Amino acid sequence: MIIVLILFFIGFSLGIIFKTNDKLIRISNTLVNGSICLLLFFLGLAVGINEDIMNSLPTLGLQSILLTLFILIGTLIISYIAYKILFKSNEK
Amino acid sequence: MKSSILILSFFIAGILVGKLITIPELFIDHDISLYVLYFLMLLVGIGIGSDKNAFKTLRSINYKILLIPLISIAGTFFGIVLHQMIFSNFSWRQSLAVGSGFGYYSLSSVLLSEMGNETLGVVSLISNIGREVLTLVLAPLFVFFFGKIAPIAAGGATSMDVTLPVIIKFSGKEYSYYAIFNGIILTILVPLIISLLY
Repeated sequence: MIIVLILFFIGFSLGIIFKTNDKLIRISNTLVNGSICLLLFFLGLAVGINEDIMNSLPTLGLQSILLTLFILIGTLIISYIAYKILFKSNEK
Repeated sequence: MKSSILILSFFIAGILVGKLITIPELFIDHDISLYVLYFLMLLVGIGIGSDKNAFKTLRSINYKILLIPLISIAGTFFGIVLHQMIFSNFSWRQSLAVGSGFGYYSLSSVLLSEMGNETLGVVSLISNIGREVLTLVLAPLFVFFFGKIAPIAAGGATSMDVTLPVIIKFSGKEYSYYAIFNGIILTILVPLIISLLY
């Protein structure tokens, strides 16, 4: 998937070069939203025609949220420790 | 919030069409969506490269601002380690790939459905939307119990846009640069880490 990264960095460089071209940036942002909607429609399509995924969707949803809860707990614990050590002393 | 509902409705429309209508093979051809993904990556790059906030935050840089994305990443991976110790629903690689969406559900889900598989794309979509929505709703509690960095780290890549208003409201305006910087770095890392894993 090296192509993905190469394209990303080409875009990144183009973005820096054409930073002041508001019209171009606006068109690019609109196209981002459009292609994301299109790709998620495709993802939905792939899910819809796949009986296996359709049947496991409720379980899959719960498992996904469970993972999210653990990720949030992890970030909260680490940010609590970091805040106590590094940031709190700054405040008046 | 509005955009996540829009995106979800396209996803659900896709499911309904796939379920109810027999579509010709041509339209479920993988090549089409792969080329759209390539196009999207180019555009996402342009979006980040041209972001004027990115350079504003770089001017206010100090060593502490660099720590924020590290805290967010370390927290995400710490949570995944805890999850993997208790549950085995997903493999380590799958959980890391989903977690590395850092709340950027649109990009991470389409990347994973193209590169990994559709199931993982769906998991990434639900999990990362959940991260954004829960951060939006619970931000005041996060700040109260875990300090002012907490909603920034929890919001991940969304701390530069969707969750920025609640972060400013509950952590304070002085944390807005931290939040924007964190969002930019994590947004760049999403495609990097996911393509390293898949």
